[in-house]
Amino acid sequence: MDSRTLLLDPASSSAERSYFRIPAGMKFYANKVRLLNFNLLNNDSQPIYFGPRGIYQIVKKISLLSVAGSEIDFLSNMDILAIKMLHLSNSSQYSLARELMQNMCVSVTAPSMSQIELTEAQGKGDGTKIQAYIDITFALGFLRSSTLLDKGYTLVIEWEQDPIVSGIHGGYTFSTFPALAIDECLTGEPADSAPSVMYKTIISDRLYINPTAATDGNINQTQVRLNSFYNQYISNFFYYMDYNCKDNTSRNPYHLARSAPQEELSLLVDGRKILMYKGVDTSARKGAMLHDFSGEFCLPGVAPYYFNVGRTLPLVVDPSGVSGEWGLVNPNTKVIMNGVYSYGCVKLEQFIQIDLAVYYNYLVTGTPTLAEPAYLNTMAEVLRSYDVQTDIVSYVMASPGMVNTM
Amino acid sequence: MFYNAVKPLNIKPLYSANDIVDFTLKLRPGRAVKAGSLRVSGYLNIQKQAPGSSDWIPCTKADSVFVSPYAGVHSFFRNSACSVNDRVIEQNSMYPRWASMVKQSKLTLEGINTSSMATLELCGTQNNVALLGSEVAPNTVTLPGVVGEVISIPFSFHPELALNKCSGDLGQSRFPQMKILFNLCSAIEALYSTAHPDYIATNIAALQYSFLDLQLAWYETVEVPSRDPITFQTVSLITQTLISSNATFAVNSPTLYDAISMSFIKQAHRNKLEFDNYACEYVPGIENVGSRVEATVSGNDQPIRFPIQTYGELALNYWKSLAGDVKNSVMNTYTSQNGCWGIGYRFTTSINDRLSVNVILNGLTNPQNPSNNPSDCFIYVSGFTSV
Repeated sequence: MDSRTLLLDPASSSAERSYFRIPAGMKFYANKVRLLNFNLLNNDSQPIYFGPRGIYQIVKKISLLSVAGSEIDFLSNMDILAIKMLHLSNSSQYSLARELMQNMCVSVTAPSMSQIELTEAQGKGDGTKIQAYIDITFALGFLRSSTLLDKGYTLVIEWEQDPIVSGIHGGYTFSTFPALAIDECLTGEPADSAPSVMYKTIISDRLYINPTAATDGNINQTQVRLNSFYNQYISNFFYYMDYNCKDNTSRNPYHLARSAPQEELSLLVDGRKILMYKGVDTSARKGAMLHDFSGEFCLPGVAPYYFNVGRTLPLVVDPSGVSGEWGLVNPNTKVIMNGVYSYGCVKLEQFIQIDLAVYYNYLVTGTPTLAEPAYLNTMAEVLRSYDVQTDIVSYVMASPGMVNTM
Repeated sequence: MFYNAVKPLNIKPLYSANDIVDFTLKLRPGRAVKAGSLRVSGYLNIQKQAPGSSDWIPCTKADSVFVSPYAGVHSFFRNSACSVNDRVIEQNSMYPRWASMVKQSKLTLEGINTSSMATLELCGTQNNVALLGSEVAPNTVTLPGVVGEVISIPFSFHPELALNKCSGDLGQSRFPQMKILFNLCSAIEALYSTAHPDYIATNIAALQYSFLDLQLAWYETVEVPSRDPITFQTVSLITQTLISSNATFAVNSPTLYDAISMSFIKQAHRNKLEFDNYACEYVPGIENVGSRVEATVSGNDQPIRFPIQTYGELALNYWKSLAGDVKNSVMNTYTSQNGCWGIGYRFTTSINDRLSVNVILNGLTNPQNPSNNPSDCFIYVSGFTSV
C-alpha cells in the first residue's frame, strides 16, 4: 500500500478550462484524485463566499476521458455535490466541509438548551484566503467505482466564467493554475483488470415551469414527460425548485434549493404511478425520502428545508438591510436559512422502458411574471458502463423481454 | 423497490387527544416490507385557549410552547403496540419517553437541532417556532372551534417500534398482516411552556393539538423466501417510584432481555404545563459519600461486579444499555444534568432472571431527598422475540 503523491501541472490551462493528462502505465489510487495548490482571487477585490455548492460553484463541468478520447464519466451539475456535502454531520460541517469544500455554513452550536446559532463568523473563511481544494473522486462515479487505475486518462475541468452562475461578482482568477494530485501506487498490486466498469452518472435536466400558469392562491401544475431516459436504469432521482415562490423571482446567485408551498411531486414510470396517494406532498415526506435514500443530512432545524417556518412572526427591522424575516442569518452571504435547502430524492431503482413523467405542483402566491421563469432542476443517477477493451461507454440496458411489474 | 402507505383504519379528518390511531399493513403476494422503513407522517397544529375564553386560537412565539426537544413529535403518541399475524409482539405504555431516551443516546444537543434523524421529527431546542406552523394543510383552512386560519407543520418520524427494528425484511408469506396501534396523549402530556408563570396565568388556560393527513408509509422489495426466523427488538415498560434514599427497583420480564434503561421524572413535574413531561431528570447525590448504584441478578450475580459511585460510569453504562452512538447527549455533563440522565445496564448475554437495581442516595436534604420529592421511575426492558 506504499504510495507517493504526485502533483501534475495542467497540460494546458486557461480561464475557461484546464486539461490534465495522467499517462498510461502510471498506477494510481482512484479514490484520491483532487485539484489543489491554488487560490482564488476576486477580480473585484471582494471576499468570496459560496452557496451550498461550495467551491464547486466555479466548476462548470468535470470530464474524465480515456486516452483515445472517449468521455468515460462527467459531472455537469454541481448541485448533486451540494446534496452530498449535506451528509456530513454537524461537527464535520464545521471543521471540515466549510474549510475544505467551502460550502455555505449549515453547522450550529447550541450554547444552551434554548439557543442555536450558526458557526459562521462574519468576515472569516473567505474563499480568497483559503487554499482551494477540489475533490474529483467526490464528483465522478467512475473513480468511486474503481480502485487502482493505470490505463491513462485525460481530465478536463471547465471553469464557470459567468459571474451570475459562479456567484463571484466581477469574476475570479486563480493565483496559480490548479495542480492535479494523484497517489501513485508503489507496490506490486495489480491494477483494475475488469473488462467493464459499472457506475452511476448524474444526468441533469432543467424543467421549465410557466410561473403564470396559475394565479395567486391556485395550484400551478406542470407535467413533463422525459423520453430521453428510454431503456436506462435510474437509481435515485433528485430534484429541487429553482424559483423563489415568496418573492416570485428567479434570481438565485447562490443556487439555493427553494422550498415551495404545497409542493407535490409524483413520478410515473412507463405510465405507472410509483408513489402512493399524492406522491411527495409535504416538506417532511420530501425530507424523509432524502434521508432514507441519500443518507442522513445536516441542516439547522426544519426551517431551511420547509416553506415559511416562522411565517406568523413579525418582521424585525434589520439595520444591515437584510430582511427581518425570522431565521438564522449567514453573516457573510446574508442568506436567511428559511426554505433554501429543500432538495428532494425519490428512489426508482428500475429501468425506464418507455418514459419517465414528472408531475409537479405548487401553490402560487403573489403575482408571478413571465420575465421570472421557474425551473425544476432534476438530477437522475443513471447506471452506465465503460467497456475497457473497446473503449465504449454505454448505458446499462434492460435485458430483452424484461418487463417492469407493479 | 416499491412504495406503499396506509391511512389509519379509523379514518378521520383529524386526530387529537386520546384518539386511537391504528394502521394495518397488508402486502401483495411476493412483496416484503424493507426492514426499518416504516415512517409516520402528517401535519401537526396546536392552539391555546386564553383564560375566560372558549375560543381556540393559534399560539404565539411569546407563549413559548414546546414539545420535548428529544422526543419531538413522538411526544403525542402515548402508547404503542404492534402485532404480527394477530400476535402482539410489543406494547409500550410510555412510548414518547423511550423515543426520547433513544434520541439522547444517539444525538448531541447540536445533533437534535441539525440531524435529519431529528429535525423532521420536530425535535430540537427551537421547536416552539416550528409548532407555530409553516403552511395551511390542504383542505383544512379552518378546524372546528378554532378561530382563524389553521397553520400546520408537516412532520415525518421513524417510530421506535419492534416492527421497525427487525433483523430482516418482512415478507408477505410469513407476515401477511401487521398492525401498529397508537393511543394519542393529551396536550398537557406532550406540550409545555417555558414562559414566565405570570404570563402563563394570564395567557394560557389550555392547549390542544390535532394531526391531519396522518399516514404510515414504508418501502417494499421483492420477497426472498427464507426459513430463518426474524428477530424483533422489543421494549417493555415497568413503572416504579423513587420514594426513599434507599430504593430497590425490581425487574421481571416475560421475555429474554439484554438491557434495561431507567429514567426518572419528579412526580411534581408530570403533566404540568411548566415542565417537559418526557425529561429524563437528573437524580443528585450519586457521588456523595456512601451513595451507590448496584445491580443484582436473581439475588447473587451482578452485571457490573462493583457498585457504581460516579456519574461518569453511570452514564457509560446507561449509554451502553441504549446501544447509543459515539456522539450523544447521555455522556455529556451539561445535557446529562438537563434532561438526559438515567441508569442502565447492558448484559453480554440475554437473561430472563429477576434483576434488582439498588439506588442508595446519601446526604440529600430537602427538596432533593426523594422521600420529600419522589420521582417516577420508568424502567424499559429491551428484549427480543423471534417469529
